[in-house]
Amino acid sequence: MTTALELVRRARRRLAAVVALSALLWGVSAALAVVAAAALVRLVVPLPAAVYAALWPLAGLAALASAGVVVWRGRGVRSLERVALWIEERQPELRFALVTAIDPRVAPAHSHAALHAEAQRADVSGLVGRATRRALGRALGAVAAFVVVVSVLQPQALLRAAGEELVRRTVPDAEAALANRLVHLTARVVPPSYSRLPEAELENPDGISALIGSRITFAGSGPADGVVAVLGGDTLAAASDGRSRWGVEVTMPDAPTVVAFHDREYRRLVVLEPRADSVPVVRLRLPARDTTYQTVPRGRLVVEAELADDIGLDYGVVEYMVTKGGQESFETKLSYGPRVAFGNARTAVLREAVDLDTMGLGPGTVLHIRVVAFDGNDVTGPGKGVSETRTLRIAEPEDSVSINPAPPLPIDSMWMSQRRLNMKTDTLIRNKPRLDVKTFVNTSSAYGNAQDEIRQRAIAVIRLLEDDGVGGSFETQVSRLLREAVDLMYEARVLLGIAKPDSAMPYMVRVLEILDEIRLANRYYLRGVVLPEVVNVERVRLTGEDPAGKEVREPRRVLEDVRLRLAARIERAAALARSDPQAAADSLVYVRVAALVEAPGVAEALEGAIEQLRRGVAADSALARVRRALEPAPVRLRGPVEWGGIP
Amino acid sequence: MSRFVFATAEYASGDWESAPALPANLIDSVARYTSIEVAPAGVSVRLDSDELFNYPFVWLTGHLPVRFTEAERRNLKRYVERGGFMMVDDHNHDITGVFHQTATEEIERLFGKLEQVPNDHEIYRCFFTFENGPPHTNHELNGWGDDLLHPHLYAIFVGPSTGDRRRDRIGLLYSNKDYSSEWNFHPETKRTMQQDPTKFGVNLIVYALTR
Amino acid sequence: MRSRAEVRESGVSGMGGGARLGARLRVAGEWALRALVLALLVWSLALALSWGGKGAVERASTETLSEALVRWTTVAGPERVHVAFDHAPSLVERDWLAALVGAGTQVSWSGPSLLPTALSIEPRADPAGGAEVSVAAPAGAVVVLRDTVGELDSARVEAASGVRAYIPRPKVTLDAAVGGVVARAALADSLKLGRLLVLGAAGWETKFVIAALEERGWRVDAEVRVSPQTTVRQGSVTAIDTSRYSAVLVLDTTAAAHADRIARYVRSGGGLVLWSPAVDAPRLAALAPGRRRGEVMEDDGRPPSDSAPREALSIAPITGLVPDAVVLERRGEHVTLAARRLGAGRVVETGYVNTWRWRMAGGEDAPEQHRTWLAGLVSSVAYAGRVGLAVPPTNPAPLATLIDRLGPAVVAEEVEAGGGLDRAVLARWLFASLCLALLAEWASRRTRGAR
Repeated sequence: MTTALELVRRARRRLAAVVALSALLWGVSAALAVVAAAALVRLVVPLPAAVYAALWPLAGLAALASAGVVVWRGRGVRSLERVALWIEERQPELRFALVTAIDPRVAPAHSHAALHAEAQRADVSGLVGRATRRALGRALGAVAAFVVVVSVLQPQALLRAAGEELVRRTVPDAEAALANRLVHLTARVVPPSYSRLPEAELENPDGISALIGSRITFAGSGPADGVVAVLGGDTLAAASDGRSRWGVEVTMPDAPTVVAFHDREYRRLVVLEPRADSVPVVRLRLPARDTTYQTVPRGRLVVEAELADDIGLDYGVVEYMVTKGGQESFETKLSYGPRVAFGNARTAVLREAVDLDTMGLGPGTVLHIRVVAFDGNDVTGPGKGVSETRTLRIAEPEDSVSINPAPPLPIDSMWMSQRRLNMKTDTLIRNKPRLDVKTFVNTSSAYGNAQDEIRQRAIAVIRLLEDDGVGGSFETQVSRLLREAVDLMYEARVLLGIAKPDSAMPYMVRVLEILDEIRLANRYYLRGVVLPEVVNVERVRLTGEDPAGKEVREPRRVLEDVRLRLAARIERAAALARSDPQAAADSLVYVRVAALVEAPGVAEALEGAIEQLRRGVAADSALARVRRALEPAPVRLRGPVEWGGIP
Repeated sequence: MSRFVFATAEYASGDWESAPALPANLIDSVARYTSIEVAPAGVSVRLDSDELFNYPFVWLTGHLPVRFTEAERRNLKRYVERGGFMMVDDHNHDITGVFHQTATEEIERLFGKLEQVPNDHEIYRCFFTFENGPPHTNHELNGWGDDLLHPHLYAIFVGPSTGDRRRDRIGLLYSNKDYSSEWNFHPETKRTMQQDPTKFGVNLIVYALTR
Repeated sequence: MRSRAEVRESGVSGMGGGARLGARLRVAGEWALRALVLALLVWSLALALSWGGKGAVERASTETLSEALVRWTTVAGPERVHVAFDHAPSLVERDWLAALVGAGTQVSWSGPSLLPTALSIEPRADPAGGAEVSVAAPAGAVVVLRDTVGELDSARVEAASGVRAYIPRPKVTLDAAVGGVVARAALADSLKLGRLLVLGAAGWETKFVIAALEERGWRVDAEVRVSPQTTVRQGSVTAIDTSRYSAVLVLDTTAAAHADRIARYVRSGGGLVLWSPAVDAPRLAALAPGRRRGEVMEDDGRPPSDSAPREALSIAPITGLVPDAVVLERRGEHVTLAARRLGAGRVVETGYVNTWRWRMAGGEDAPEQHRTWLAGLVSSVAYAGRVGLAVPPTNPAPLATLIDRLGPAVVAEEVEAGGGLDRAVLARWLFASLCLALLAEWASRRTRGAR
């Protein structure tokens, strides 16, 4: 027979288990209640980050508190007497028999049999069972209710975000390990020092325009490990700056390009648009125009120029080039005025006066004047800008108006022959140390014979010129000059015959001058006007005998239209935009870089389309406009339809 | 109509007219060896005028510095890009001389670096065959000017490249060899010559007319 | 239990004077509502009988057509329908109406604002691609050309010539909108182009014609005569036939030696472009639209303008036109472009003898314009094989096919009236009115305590 004490002990154990289980269930309910409340509030207003971070701790606290309350309220199960009293309360007919019977000091069983018998008749198990069902039922019901509410509200994202926020706030490195380190990108642009332009800080740039050679430092939050930048063919690893930020430095190249940042599965593209430092622009104001002087000018000549540069002028200088000579022999002297520094000014005026008397000008001289300016570009080299050139000529006497009939043909050929002979003789003189005596003598003698042959031709021309047609003769200007030349040729011939080409040379030079004088004096030559010689084409047609080779013509390549190539790339990106706008935007970034070089107007329009795609807005109309602008326009056709193709 | 007219370029800064007999000489040679319809006289045309574009072959030479005006530069660039052929010849035959220094500076400013023409380029085979590239001139052979034998000509190539410079099209041809002196004589003088030195000039004109 | 009358009496007699009047009015109102319900029922019955009878026409407009089609097909099954179009129906709607006709419904339609429009698009024989588009529409109508990207061009139709254009980059389909009609066409073929053969003497015109065509993308064989012994060749000119060449271009009489082969080539379907100086050779003149040419009228050296570039070119006018020659262009009284058919082939003759000046001396876009014009000359005669393409559904002549499927339009007023309102709308109003009346009558009775 179960004693009263055993009954109460059994009841105590069961009640303790119920309390424990109830506490657990009420704890879960409280936690679910907190989550449900947060989810409900989030539906109406966004929750601050602090609330996210507090959600898990709050739910835990609520669970603990709720369980604690249940345990506190059920603390009585620790005491047998309290349990017995609890039973007595629910079974008053026991009239405290049970609570008395469980204390052997008060009512030992051998002396209180009736009492124990009375106590043993208590329906303890039934009571405990009903209490258990009640307690657990309520707790389970609460749990079930909150589970239903929570499953309706779907707080999984809330819980995940709360967890991430909690971890981010509590675990120092966890934030960086989780987040996209490319989201908040900054760029510091430092232009080359020569430009003296200020630095710039950019937040989240999609494109950076800066001078070639500018240093650009990109930075973002988080550790540097795993962040790389790909620029052209180079991969640059990010470096840490010790403050939980990564950084990578690039230099602005000389052609547009894309720098692609990679962080695990994240990617970000930034377009680098180089700005070239333009060369200085120089406009020569004085002298105002080219001039031909009939006499040698004297005095001071003012040279004045306006200079401008997009970044800054370093210095400028006036360049003077004086050329004198004639026929085949010219000499040029190049000189500069004083260097004028401009201290990086964007505009300047350079003015100086030059003393023409010091230039060595004379008849036939040509003076070229221009102004040269340099900027201070020490990255790609100083930009050099030049002005137009002013040409100042000083006329030679024959540069005016004397027009005479064309010379007889033999003058030209004599001149050619004499010129060749002079060249050969000059070569012979220079080669004399290398030649043996016999060769030298024979060659000089042969040249003497050639000189004589030219002399005979000249005599024949003199006879022709001086023949008056009636058996008499008269001297002409040309025949007089030719006679002088014939005499000199004789002298030269004699000297060549005795192997003294060096002595013959001055005579030969003078002969050539005379022949040239005869030839040039008969050029139809006014400055800038040459009356052409007319060839009797039909007389000489196909009289040449030399056979020609047979060569095959190489075909030309088809001209590729770069704009059409761009249009095709944009069309492909537009098709991709429907399924993957971000990939389409990335693709268009590369097209934009190509367009910066090939079609700059299109690059600007593409920028707008890329921005729309990044925001998730359809960019169809923007892309359509760009494609249309790149394609050739339709051409109206006229005429009969069946011959329709001709515009 | 389509007949060939030999044009000499007039430019503001130099002695563009320094080879006055050259046009007649080359016209004569073209008539001698080909059936190309050719005008009997050459013309001179200003580099800064619209008239330049009526002459798709133009010869430019001189001894003096070459300093183009803006209008001349603009015209020259457009001329070559549209298919014109310009022959530039240093009448000084001197790579230290002002014509060479200034003309190459102007050309490279407009078109970029002058490139060496391979000596088996089709310009050396398009009519007469010159196995060793550009023929030497008397000036070179006699050591005048810079006393150098220049083995190559230089060019600005135009149009899409074939990948082989021997077949790429020349728009501007530059010479240090002084063909202006070599060919600056009356055409009748050819009758007394054993070798006609103007044959390479025929190649230049045939190349311009057929490529 | 008391009777209704007793209730009414008690209700009424139990009230004061004003209240009695109000109650009587209320009862009268209820009787009025009952009468209204009865009238509506009678009207519905009458309508049902009349709609089921002969002569009743269901109507729809462009906006309501798609909904009406569903109803006519699934619920109503009307005998006669009339559709008033203010713009052409889609292919689906048109075919659906045609199917209703097949199912026994008489379909009539009106559309006074629909303009007859037809669109054709043909591939151009040009390596740069493109298509030639022709739109037929009434004179004065505005034609808007559109493709999948957006609007391409718009033009007003002048006289009877329609609108024709060359579209350099055609998309899959092309639309021509004329008022409320949108015609759609697609390129049904692509072309297999052969090579070109150019025959001429060395000169600027030969040089720049070859250059322009090669830059355009044509593969060119050429024979350029430099001297009687020397011809610069490109490609190997063995046979002149349509398997190799899409067109032959003859610039002068140097091609006379090939005249017989060219004649056979053209007669078998090949294309020939002839410069008028070539007719100085009699055997070439026999092929040309103009058997002779006038003296060359030299240009004055001024640069060709963008707007009328060929006005500044030299011409050798085309004269001695054969009876079947078609004049394509004139300068004043001089014929500068003419064409003819020769056997299965086509010949175009141009009197412009120095088009190279257009390229060299013209405006900013002159080189491209020159290329396009020359390519146009070639494409107008070129022989090219065709390869069929898979095309999406098109509607190149919307009005014509509508008439073809549904018969000609009728004047809307001639259609027998079957009711001022759409049946469905009327039925809904009737039902709603009935319900409201019944509800109001019941509510009034119940709220005053009557049953």
